[in-house]
Amino acid sequence: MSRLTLRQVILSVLVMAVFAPVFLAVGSPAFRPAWLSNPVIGEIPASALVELAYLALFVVLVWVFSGSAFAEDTDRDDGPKEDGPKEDGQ
Amino acid sequence: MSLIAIAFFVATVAATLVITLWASRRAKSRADLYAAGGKLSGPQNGLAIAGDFMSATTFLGMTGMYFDAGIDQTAIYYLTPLVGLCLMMLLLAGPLRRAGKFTLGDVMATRLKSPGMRVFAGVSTIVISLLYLIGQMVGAGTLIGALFGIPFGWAVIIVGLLMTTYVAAGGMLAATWVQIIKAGMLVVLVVTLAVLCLVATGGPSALYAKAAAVHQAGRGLFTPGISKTDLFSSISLGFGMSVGMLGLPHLLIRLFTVPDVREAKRSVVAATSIIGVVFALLFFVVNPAAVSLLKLNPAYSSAAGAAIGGPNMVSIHLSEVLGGEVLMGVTSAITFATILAVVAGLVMASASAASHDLFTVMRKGAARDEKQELMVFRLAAAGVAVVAIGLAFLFQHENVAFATALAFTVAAGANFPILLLVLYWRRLTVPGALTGGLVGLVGSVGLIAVGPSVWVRLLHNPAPLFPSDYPALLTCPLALITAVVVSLATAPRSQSTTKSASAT
Repeated sequence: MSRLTLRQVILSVLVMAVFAPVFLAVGSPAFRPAWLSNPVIGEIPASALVELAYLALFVVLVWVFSGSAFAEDTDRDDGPKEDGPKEDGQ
Repeated sequence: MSLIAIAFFVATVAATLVITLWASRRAKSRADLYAAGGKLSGPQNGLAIAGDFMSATTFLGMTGMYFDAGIDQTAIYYLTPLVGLCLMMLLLAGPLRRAGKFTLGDVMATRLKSPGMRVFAGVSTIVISLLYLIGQMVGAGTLIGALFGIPFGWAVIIVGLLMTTYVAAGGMLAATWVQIIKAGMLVVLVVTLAVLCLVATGGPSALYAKAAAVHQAGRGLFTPGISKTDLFSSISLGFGMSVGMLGLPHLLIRLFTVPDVREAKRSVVAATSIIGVVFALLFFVVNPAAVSLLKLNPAYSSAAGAAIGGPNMVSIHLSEVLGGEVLMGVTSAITFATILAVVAGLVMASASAASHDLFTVMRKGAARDEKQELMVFRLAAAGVAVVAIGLAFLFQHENVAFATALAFTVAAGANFPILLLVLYWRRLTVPGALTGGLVGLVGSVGLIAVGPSVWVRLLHNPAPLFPSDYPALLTCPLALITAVVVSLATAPRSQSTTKSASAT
């Protein structure tokens, strides 16, 4: 049985909080800044650059989180086992 | 259809069949068939994971969505796989690898020691995989039908036969290697298309200027929300697509195919790097280029601005504009390989659930017969293909990106909450997990069925009974709360049962 830590909960909520402006902007004009469609570099709109920044940020976050996700895994380091656990009724 | 394109198609199918033949000679045991023997390297598994994300939805569906409505919902779709991977690394990856063996049923049944949990895991795996298969099969049928001029029905039957062959003969090893090779080809294709788009349009700035000039929405093309998605639907879509990923069986079982944690980590790093680059190129270059090069071009879009052949054909049209028949042939062949690889992975997950989870429980305690189980696995692969073909007929006019969102919604409502509780909450009981899982599964499927896409567009009723196509924001917490409440209500009885069982 694993233990859910406060760090895991807070980081998960933070990930969704970082993502929130994107789905809120899609769903309501109230959360949609007017500058999103404005050109920033030449004719490239701000929204395209914001999305690129988001992609880069989440790639880095996955790399960082994968370090701790697999750090403590010592129980299962030899691939799939043939003998599975027994269940009631079997 | 040119001879060049046909030659690419035939070569692609032949290559995948050779891989299957090779894999079938190596796949001798259940471990080989279900988890490629757990011997894949990190980069290999990373390419396969990336391949799972770079499906027909990504390449055909989202490009078609952008063509019609601009950035809009694609802003959510392109980010959710990476948001989901973040959450997967934070919440599930480590404990899942420690607990798992071949299927999600193994994880759930190990913790709760109940055949009922195995049945639930098996059924939800099959339902989710079938929903995901709809989008892929519709994409395949549309593509082959448009390119070869053969009816949609025959096209999906051909795909069904091929995916059954891959999985039944070569198992996870064949499904993974088909996925690896396809992912490599798709990366090269997307990079090539992006470079050609920039050359053809004169650079990013000119590309965006022209896209805004030819699209009916003007610069509104670059504003999310042009299709007037309501707030509940957009939040639920973002939440469901991210969290749903944590309940997708065909992705989760890939964590079981590497030998150790080092390779698991390497596979995640490789997968996210590939996904990041490909999604960035598609979103930033290929999608707006498709608008600027195809809109108002009478050969590829109607007077109203719709893509000829439907939104799923936009990527294929773009490749023809950029590189003539040769590039179109290559693109079509790689897209076809993409679909084949993804459907093979989905059939793999379903057939494993049927033979390793459902069949095991049906035998009621009889000793495991590996030969019989592998036979059931192969029959299940064929059965799943037949059902998927039927569903593809029903949903053939839907955008494939939407069909995939349905699978994520059900995964978010049914699998994720229970998996989370199984891994982390000691007081979870079998009745609690089963009730919560069923509420999530039935609630998700039921609300989707009475939502706008199925209730109104497919069944032709005047108004939907549930206003949104994306109910994950309701069904996921509902399943979680139900599981907790029922577990607390049944805890003393279950605990005493467990104690007496262990005493005997």
